[in-house]
Amino acid sequence: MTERTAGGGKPLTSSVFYILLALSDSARHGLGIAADVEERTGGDVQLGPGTLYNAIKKMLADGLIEVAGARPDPENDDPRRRYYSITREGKRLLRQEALRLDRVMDAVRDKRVIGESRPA
Amino acid sequence: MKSRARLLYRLLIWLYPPSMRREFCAEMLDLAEARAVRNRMESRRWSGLRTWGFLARDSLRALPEAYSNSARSYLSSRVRRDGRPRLSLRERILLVLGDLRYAFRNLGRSRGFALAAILTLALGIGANTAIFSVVNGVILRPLPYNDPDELVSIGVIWEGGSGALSTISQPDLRDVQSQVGSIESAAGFSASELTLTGMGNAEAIRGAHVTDGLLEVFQETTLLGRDIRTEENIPDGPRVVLIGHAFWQERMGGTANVLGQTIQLDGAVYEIVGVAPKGFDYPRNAQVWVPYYLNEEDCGRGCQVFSAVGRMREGSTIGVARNELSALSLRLQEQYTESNYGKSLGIMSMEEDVVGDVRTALLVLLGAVGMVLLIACANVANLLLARATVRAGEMAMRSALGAARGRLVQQLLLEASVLAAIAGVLGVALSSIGVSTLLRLAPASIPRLDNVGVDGLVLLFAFGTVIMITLLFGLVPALRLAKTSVASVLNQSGRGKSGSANQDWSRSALLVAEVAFSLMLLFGAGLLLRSFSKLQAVELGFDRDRVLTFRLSLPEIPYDGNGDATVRFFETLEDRIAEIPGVERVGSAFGSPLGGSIASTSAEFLDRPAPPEGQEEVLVTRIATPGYHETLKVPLLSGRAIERTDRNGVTRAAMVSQSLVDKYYPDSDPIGQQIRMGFGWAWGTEEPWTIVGVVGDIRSLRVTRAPRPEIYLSHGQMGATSMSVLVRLAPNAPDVLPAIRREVQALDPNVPLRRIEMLDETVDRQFGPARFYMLLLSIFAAVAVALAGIGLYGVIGYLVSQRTREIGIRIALGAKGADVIRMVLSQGIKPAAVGIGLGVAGAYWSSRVLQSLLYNVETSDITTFTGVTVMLALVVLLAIVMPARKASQIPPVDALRVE
Repeated sequence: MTERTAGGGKPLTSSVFYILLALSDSARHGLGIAADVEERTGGDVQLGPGTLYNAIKKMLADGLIEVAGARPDPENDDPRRRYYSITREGKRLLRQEALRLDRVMDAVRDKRVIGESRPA
Repeated sequence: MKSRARLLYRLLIWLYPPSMRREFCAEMLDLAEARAVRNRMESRRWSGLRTWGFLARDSLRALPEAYSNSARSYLSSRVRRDGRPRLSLRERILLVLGDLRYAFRNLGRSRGFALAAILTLALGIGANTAIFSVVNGVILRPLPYNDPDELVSIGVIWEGGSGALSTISQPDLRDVQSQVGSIESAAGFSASELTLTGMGNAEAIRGAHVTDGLLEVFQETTLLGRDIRTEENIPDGPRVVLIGHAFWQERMGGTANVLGQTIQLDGAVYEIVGVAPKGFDYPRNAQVWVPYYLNEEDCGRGCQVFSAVGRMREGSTIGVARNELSALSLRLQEQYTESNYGKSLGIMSMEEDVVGDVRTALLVLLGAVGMVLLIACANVANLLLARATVRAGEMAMRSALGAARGRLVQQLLLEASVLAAIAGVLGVALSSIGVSTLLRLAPASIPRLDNVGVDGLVLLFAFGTVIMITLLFGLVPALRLAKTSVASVLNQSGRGKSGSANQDWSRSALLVAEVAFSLMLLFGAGLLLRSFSKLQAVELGFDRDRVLTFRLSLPEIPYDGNGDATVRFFETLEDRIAEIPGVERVGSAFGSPLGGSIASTSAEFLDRPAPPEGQEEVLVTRIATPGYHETLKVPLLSGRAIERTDRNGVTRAAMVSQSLVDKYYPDSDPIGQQIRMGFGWAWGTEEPWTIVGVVGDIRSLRVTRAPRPEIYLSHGQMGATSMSVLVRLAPNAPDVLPAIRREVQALDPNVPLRRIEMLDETVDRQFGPARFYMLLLSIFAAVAVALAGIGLYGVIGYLVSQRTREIGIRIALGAKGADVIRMVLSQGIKPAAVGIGLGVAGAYWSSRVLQSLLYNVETSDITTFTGVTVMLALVVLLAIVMPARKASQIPPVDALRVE
């Protein structure tokens, strides 16, 4: 397993990264996270329940995300669902990882591995 | 579909750690269901299968991570978690594994302690397992027969006798067979050695003269041919033999056409009519069974020749059979007064008959060795308690950091069980050494020793012992330690105090137990020791040194009924043996002293009125050649010895023992008195025997049995064919056995030498069991006392070390050395004294089980009691005084520097 380190040395696991990314704009429940990730990656990354909740459990424990107190859409809400939101620490880590990826992408573009036009 | 996906995934979720399930079950189900719904809506083919493939892949990836996360979060909770998490079995196992590692690390850190504890316990477990192996093999394992519980021994119990089963007559046995409903079948046998000739050298092989039905009793059938039949148990019946499987294989080539072939036994030709099934060798490794040719005219109800075995009818009990037999005995006593007076028929389970009084002895040993283990446990518990005080800081710290009390107890128990488990493995290894040592030391008279070995039950015992001692020595300190309050420890640190009052209490209790158990063991060992020394001091009445003995049985043909040939054989043999260099004297008798065989014969004293029929006196009867008493150095007290001239045709000469004179001729001269014996060999019973001499008493049957009146009949006038030859050797005599063999061979090549041994070996065999039990119990007692001494020394030493500062201050303030000694003494003496008190009571109460193992010593023997108590008190005092003295010499400066 890849470890998260505070110093930003090692990369995040992809599931942690995508979950943080999914939560970066709003709080979501598990189903919402999985749907967001799948959509955003064009179906390349499909989080199964085991993988997703392993990651959620660990991220909760590590303080990267928390169970959200306020629910964004009370009208259309299933009371059983818990919503998760990103913490300050999670945001910091996400940003750090994004910067790392950006550097990676710079290198990729420099080497002209792929064209400029295609968005990430 | 929806509900099916949910249901199936619910099953899958069960594989996840409970902490995960508890938190996310519903959400995981939702997600799985959503996935299934999506797949279906996209209406791809095999959507169900796809969903499940996806979920399975997901689980395969996620499960290991889930567990390792949950383990990590648990391990990190050792210092962080608060409250008591409810844990599943799986998590508990993980937890235990973590604790286990911790336990090993801890023990590794204090190697001295671990080593001492493990060795002590391993010795204890090893000794227990070894003794249990013997108990298991001898007592617990069933006899190797079909339905052994139904097998019984049947025999006669004589009024006024020892109560043991003795041999039974053929007519009585037949009545048992036909009139006792609870006994399904019964058979009689007389175990013997038969001389096999015509197949190389003459050889003695084990066999039995039997009635019909022996195989039936054991629920066996012949492999080939048939068993002995009823109509063959008659005088001059057909010479037929049933041979054993081993005999058939080894000597007859194992071929099927063995039936009808002949072998020569005791000089007669026997036709083989059957082969016994493989493994059947009752009684006593028998390999040939021949009919008992009994003439009931000569040898009827008064002639107890058979040992008898039987099988209980299914569902019946020995108690019922015993009642039936008593009723039958009464009927027979009335009907056949002359033969059955004072005779009852008895029964016991075959197992009881085989194992007999060895059971008590072995159980005593098992109990004793168990006490040793308890003492060992107490010592280790004391060590743990001492460590507990040292570790109180650690425990309090962990407790303060949130570790649950249960977890601390578990941790300590785990350390205890690691110790016990290592000791257990080591102990089982040690026990195999123990068993082989025991088997070497054990006297041959303990039955079934060849059964002794390590089997499942023994391992189970060892395992149970480990569990038990773990609880014994682990739980008390663990509970004590876990109770330690944070505040008390933190307040105490460096305060030089010897633990809480509670700890002192448990420590004292352990000391009390150690001392008490030691005293009980010492007392038992002391009793056996005293008994043994009395046994050794018994006046045998003969000189056992440098006497070679062997037994000769002349074959039926041509010697039976031919007294002259028999007498000539032994006279010539004795003459020739006397010529061999190194031989001082030679003599023979029917029945050598302590040789196990004895003939008791009714005797009629002609100088007094005849008693009613059936109530004749019975005398131990021996048939001796002239050199017999001289060879044994039995003193001639009056009259003359038997001589060569006392042969057939002249007045029959007999010698009697002093106790016979004391009983029958207390006030008159026995010389010249006449006795008619109900027993004749070659020349009948009519002519009476005249007493010509009186010899000293000897212990002829058992060392522990007081001499009985004995009569010695002249062999020249009896012509017994089965004789023990005794040869007294000169000091430093060369090996005369080859020369003797040559002489016997020269006289008759068909006569083998049997039971060759030195007389002192015969005597020694009688001491064997007593020596064995005494030796073992003494070893156990010595170990117990040593352990108790070490334990006491350790505890007092520890207490002193904990109070060094206090003692230093006292000395600095003017306390004298003697005051300090007194102070420390008082701390140790109290539990020791209580222990001795309890031990005395326990010893008094428990020593009764030793009763049957003691000779001439009371179980409440006051000398032994005082002796062992004083001895233990000295050891205890020494163990307390040594650390006390050390304490008194503590320089105050050092003491104050302890912090």
